Amino acid sequence: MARFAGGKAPFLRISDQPNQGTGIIMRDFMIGLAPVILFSWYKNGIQVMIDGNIGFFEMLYPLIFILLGGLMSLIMEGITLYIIHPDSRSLKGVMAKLSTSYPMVPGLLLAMVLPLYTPVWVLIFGCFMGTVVGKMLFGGFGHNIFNPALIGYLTIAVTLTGVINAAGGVFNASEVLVDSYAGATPLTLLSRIKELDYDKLVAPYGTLWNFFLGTIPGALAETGALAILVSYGWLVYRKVIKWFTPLIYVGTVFVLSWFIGIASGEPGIWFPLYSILSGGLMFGAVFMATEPVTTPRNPLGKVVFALFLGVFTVLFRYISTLPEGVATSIVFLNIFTMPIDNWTAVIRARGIKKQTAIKASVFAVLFIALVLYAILKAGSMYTAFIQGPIGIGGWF
Amino acid sequence: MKVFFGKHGFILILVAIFVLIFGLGGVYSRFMTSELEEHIEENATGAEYALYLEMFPGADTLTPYTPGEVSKTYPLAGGRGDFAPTVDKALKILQGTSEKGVVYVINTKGKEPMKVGVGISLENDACVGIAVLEQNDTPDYFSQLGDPFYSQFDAKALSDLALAVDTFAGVTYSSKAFEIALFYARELYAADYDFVIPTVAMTLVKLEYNFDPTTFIASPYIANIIYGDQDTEAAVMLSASFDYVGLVGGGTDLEADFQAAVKALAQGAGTLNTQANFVSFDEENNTLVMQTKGYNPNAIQASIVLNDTLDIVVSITFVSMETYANQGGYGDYTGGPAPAVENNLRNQYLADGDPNVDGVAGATVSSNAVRSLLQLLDGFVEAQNGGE
Repeated sequence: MARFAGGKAPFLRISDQPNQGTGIIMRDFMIGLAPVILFSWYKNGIQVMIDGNIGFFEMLYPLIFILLGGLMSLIMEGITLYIIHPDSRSLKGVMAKLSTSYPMVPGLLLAMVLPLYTPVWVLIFGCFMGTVVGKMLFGGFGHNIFNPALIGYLTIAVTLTGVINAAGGVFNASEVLVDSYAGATPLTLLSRIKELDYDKLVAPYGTLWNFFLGTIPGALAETGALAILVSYGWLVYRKVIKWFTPLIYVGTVFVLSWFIGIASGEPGIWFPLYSILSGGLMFGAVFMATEPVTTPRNPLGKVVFALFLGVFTVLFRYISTLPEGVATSIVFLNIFTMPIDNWTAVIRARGIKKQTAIKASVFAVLFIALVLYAILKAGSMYTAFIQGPIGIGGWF
Repeated sequence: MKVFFGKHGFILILVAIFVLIFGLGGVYSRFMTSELEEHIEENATGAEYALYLEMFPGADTLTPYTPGEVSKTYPLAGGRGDFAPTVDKALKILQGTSEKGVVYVINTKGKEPMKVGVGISLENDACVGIAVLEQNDTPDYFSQLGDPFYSQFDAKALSDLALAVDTFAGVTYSSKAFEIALFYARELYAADYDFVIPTVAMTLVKLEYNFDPTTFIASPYIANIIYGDQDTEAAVMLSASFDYVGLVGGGTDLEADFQAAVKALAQGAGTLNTQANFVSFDEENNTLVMQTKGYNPNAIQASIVLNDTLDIVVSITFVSMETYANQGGYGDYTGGPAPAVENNLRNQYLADGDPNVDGVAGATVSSNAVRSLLQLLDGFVEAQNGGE
């Protein structure tokens, strides 16, 4: 059934009303980032200084690094605007454009998903790739196809991981002294040992409670599940993001991981919890899968997008050389945002009828096929799964 | 100029900020990396120093110092030539201002290079502990060295002439590394402090295998020595760990100092390959059981049937052998399962009677082990002199 706005005309644009515009959304988004930024600073700076492992200036680094990311993105966007818009080559002209384009967000998000000891020049390079290449070359805010922060992140991950590791890598000065970590984050460990064993995957980092609090090794801000949930609550409350997008995304990974665990002879709920609390899944689900420009705009589109994100994340975690699958899956699905948006808008407006059944079927078939493939690919990682009673690992 | 800056000043400021952040950020990043490296090193040093302080109850401070220069060489286990240990650092151990002892961190060698810290107490001139800092020996072997082995260093008097380390069965190479470190630490200690290394007048003339089937189990080695003021000659039977057992043919035992001296000299000689040894001899069936150690902690054991005069090998059967599978040292080995290597070398020996058989590609350690066994066997057969 077609859906139209009810009530009497005239219909006013909400964004034109006081306290409802883009600037307010940006403000709320920045407030939403604050708990995660502060957690990151606490975990990688303040707590490490309390442990006696770093000094004052090292303690400040995580905070400065994240803020620098935002600042560099702002500067790069300002310079780019100056270059490509000769008619607005003034402070006022550039500021007017910057005020509505979320210029700091790509850099902030990028810095938050990078390891602590990433050299600043690498961050600047990532900001350039994200802001200039991923955003401005597509026409700026509202026109970019890919999530700018993730363009920067993936470029760095592919080309400069060695540089980051040589500079100190992902472990803060307290974590680097913990023998049980053995130089690996939880997901790196999983990709190394390829075995579902609580004692090997979780115990080295404490318990799942540590995973929830975020006191485990990982990129600057990605580990703080609790802080991310606080941000999620705020952003949903302020209606900056839809509540169901992160929930469906994380939920899909949870269910798929649980199934993989069961098929591998490890039915405990610890593995799905481990899967959603490890790496950047929670962070990506709340701050990147909800990005308004590069993801579908209608609710059904968001649901479909989130479902596919969950499947692709699991898939990329087990078939990619990178242990993390969040960034790759979001950027990959950004390509399909427009068709998903268009098709789901039609389905949503007309309901499941003859004309829309094919489109819905395509989504359903694709989804089921990918789910099966993801489970099989993940299952092939584990001997128990291949040799287990189900034996579906032998199909391929 | 004013017009130019009026028009482009804004962007120039942005670019200037960009360049400033790029430069200062680089310095900040470099600072972070160097600080992290320093923290890691400090922590490692802290953990290392804690090990040393544990050796000296009540001690609270360590002070690095430059030890005296000592140059010595010691034979490596398995007849692999001589090795000159070096001192990595030396630390005085203090309790308040009172000096309690010293720790020498020594680069020694087992199968591979090893670094150990040797703690020596000034109160009683004794080794009070040893700490392994780095080692790369075969894990299967090295992991067998547990508390019983390390506890011998808890109160080992340096006045003991032999100062020998009781080797853990089958871990000869690594055990030797500790012994070299201990000997060298004693030399350093003597150079730094008022300590005299005990000496006894004795010369080791010859060290050889004992091929007498009635005694070679308990005393696999015989040392010919000249000792004392009168240059007395003697043939001494020694155990597998070179402990004094008795004189060949009986007689009055040597005094304790001489017993310790012969052990020290025999251990230090390094002229015998101790990889293989006799296990038993069945006189009725002329069957000799021998064993040798390869890559695997499980010994390769062979049952050897000899003729009536004991001077011809009739057959060699391997009753337990090396496991090739899942062994890091068998990466290039492409032959059959055990005992393929053992049988290959045995067949060579039985064919031409030469114990210096060719090794099997990719199984060097096992080949060396079996070759040692065959050489010892060949020596035994030759020594029987036709059974007379």
